[in-house]
Order: sequence, then C-alpha cells, then structure tokens
Amino acid sequence: MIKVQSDIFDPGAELNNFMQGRTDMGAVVSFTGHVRGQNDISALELEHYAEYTETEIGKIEIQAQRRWPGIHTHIIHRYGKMKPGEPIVFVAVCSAHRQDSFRAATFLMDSLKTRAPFWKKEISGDKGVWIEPKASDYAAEKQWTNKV
Amino acid sequence: MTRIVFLGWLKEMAGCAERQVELPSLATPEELIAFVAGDNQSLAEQLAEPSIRMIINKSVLAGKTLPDTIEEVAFMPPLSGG
Repeated sequence: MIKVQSDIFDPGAELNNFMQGRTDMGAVVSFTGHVRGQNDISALELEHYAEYTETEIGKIEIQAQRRWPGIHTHIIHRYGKMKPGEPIVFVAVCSAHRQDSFRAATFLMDSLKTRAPFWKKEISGDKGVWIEPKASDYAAEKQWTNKV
Repeated sequence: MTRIVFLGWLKEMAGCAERQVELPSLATPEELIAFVAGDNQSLAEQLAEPSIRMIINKSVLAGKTLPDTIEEVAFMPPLSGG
C-alpha cells in the first residue's frame, strides 16, 4: 500500500494496522524518517510532482516485491510543511523470515531517496534553502543494481 | 495547450510553478527548452544541464525524439526526498 499525504501520521498505529490479522508473516521491519531540527530549522517543506509521485513509488514497490517474493509492503511519504520531530516517511515490510524484511526495507528507503519525486527545503525564519541530494544516497541506491 | 511544470528550485528560477503555453512545432528537446525559457538565459542554461530530467506526458524523456503530442512537460531537478 502506498500513501502520499500532507497529514501527519502515527508510525506505531500504521505498523499495528499493517500487521493486523497477518498470521503467516514471521517478521516485520519498519523505518520512519523524521524532520531533524538542526541549524535553527523551524520547518521542512517537501514538494512533489503530484500525479507522478505515486506512480514512481509504485514502481519501486513492485521491484521490491519481485526481488523478495512473498513480502508485503506499506509506504507513506508526506509532502507540505512539517516541523522538527515530525515523521516524513514510513516504510514497513513483512515477510515469513527476517532477512527479506530487512533487505527489502533498506532497498525501499534507498530507492525512495533517489527516485521518488520529492524536493526538500529547509526553512529557517523567513529563509528557505533547497536541499541537494547527497552522494552517499546515490551510492546506497547503486548497491542494489543487478543485485538481489 | 501544453502544461509546463517547474519542479523544486526550478520554479524559483522560472518565476512560476507552472504555466500553460501553445507549443509551436518542435523537433528536439533543445528546441523545447529554448521555447520554454524564452529570453531567460540562465533558465535556458539550467534546463539544459544533464542533471535536469525532462518528463513529458508523465514519462521520462529518453533519447532525443519528442512525442507527437505533448500535453505536459515537467522539468525535474535532482531529487531529495525520503
């Protein structure tokens, strides 16, 4: 399941709902990314390419499900303005055994970082600075090329 | 009419997030950039950067051939989500 939304969410509740009624999954791994309150940042603003975002995240999700057959995934990515401490992104993967969940969750996050159409702007006072992607993010995503 | 979308920081350089234009007959991505940028030279140079991807009708333009019908063009700077 994929949700792209501006509303804040409760990662604990999302995880519980995701696992509700599943009796055949022995493992679940989740990751939540939060706004880091560094350098006097008062807010973070995320922009996205509305109609395109879910399609692109959907491609990433399908790739994960093909690499690790039998997993189930839940992805939430927010857009809009958010304050330090608030969750931005949530990924949960469940599988029969733990390794697929760990690997697929890492794959999903590495891929979201470099392939989901979002742009971050750090707001400090009345100024905004667009965030450039980091080389380490590309390196993390590249490790998955042609590798299961 | 064609919807032109400037994403991320490109909208500040373009002066708007999107606009509607009547595209003339164009053969290449370079001609499309030149038309979209008009006399905004710094925008033209930026849009021509290899790091800026052109999304036409919601698909990444691969190669140098424009589709016959262009309903939407989005210019996409490097992503920074997650």
